Amino acid sequence: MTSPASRLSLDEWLRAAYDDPAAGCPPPETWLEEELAARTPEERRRLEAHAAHCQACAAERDLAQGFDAGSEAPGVRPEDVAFVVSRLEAAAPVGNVRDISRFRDARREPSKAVPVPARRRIESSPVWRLAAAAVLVIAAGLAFQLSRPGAPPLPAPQTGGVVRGGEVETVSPLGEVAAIPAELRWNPRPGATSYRVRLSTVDDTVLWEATVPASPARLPAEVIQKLHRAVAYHWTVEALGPAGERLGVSEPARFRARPAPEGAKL
Amino acid sequence: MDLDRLSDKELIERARANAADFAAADACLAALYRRYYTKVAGWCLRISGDRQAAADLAQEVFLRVHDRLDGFRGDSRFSTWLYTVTRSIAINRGMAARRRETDALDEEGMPEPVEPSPGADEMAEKGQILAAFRDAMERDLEPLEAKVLYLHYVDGVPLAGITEMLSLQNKSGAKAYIVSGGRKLKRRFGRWLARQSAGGTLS
Repeated sequence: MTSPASRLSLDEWLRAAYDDPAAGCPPPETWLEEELAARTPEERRRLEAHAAHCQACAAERDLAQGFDAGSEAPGVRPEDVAFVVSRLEAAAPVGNVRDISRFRDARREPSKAVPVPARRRIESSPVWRLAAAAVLVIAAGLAFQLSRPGAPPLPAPQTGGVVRGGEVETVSPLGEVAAIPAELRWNPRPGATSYRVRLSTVDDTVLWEATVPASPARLPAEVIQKLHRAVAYHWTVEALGPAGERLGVSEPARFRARPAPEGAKL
Repeated sequence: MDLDRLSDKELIERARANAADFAAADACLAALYRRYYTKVAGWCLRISGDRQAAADLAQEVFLRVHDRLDGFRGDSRFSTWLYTVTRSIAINRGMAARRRETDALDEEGMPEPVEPSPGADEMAEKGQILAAFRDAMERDLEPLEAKVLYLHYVDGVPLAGITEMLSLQNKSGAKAYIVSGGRKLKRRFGRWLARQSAGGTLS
């Protein structure tokens, strides 16, 4: 057998080959127009000479030039650029949780785009204030209902601990669980190359979302800290294909960690 | 104040100076991000080859930039930093898809692994192999094969994105170059390449 350290896959060898300082390859961002312009003519000549025989750097130069060209790059259609920009404008990441929620909504309904800076406009709307107040009242009522002694338990998960009926099957956590979960699990969907996972409160405020290659999705510590016992949460999984297209979505799965026994340290 | 007249650096400084005034800080950052929407959109479209995937990627880029802006020290241009973030996210997203795409491409049997010479210094051997890999990319492969292999395996660009980006006109696009280039490398380096899956495919 070949020595274990030498048994790497092709991509691992290629990455290692070009990460090696001995390759003499400059950082990828070197090929940006502004970065090149900041160099002396001699340095630019040296870089071009390197890229002439190093196809890795030639590829990085192509990528960087594509960034410089933006919407003018060959093969990029203006209507596609307009589509992506409209999505960005609808979901400007300026602000906090409310904006992340908007980000999700914009994905589903790009036609309801809210131009940036949207937070100020939304907050100044009387309708928004009324809606926010209503959501707060409902959320407070739900939290009270779930946290009081003798609160009715959530429905038990179906046989086998799997929610069926959706195009992706969620596995855990489902229903009433003993502890605040550290990860979300689901069954793989044939053809999916990644999964977009979303964890929300019952009023549909997104607490966390991420795209992961496979189950399980581990919850970041800062998200786990935001989860409380006796409070219900929803989560969903979307299966994505190689080009990011949606292959299927799970039914919303619901869970709640049991209230801690009286006197127990939370 | 017309924010569009400010430089990137000035917008960031102004947003930081107005950290307590959300509306003012948001307006500065919104102006800054909007400045790069078209650029990032175009790049994402170019490497995704699909506008839905490009939109998702571009949105993730600006969310990440916004999350990490506090850590941006201004040692480089904002546009350069934005590019490194964009490229990094694209690579990470492309990796999982790439593994699936190339699983189906291997069609040749693998040469049997060969025992290295007794007592060989593994690190030295690895260094030699790395140099040989780079050398093979330059000498054994057609420039286009090498470029496609690098973009796909190292940068994780999907095959459709490479086909679009390099304006490849052949029927199967980038896939043909992955197969021909990969075959040459396997022929020369098969003894060092691991079998990746139960089916014995090489990724």
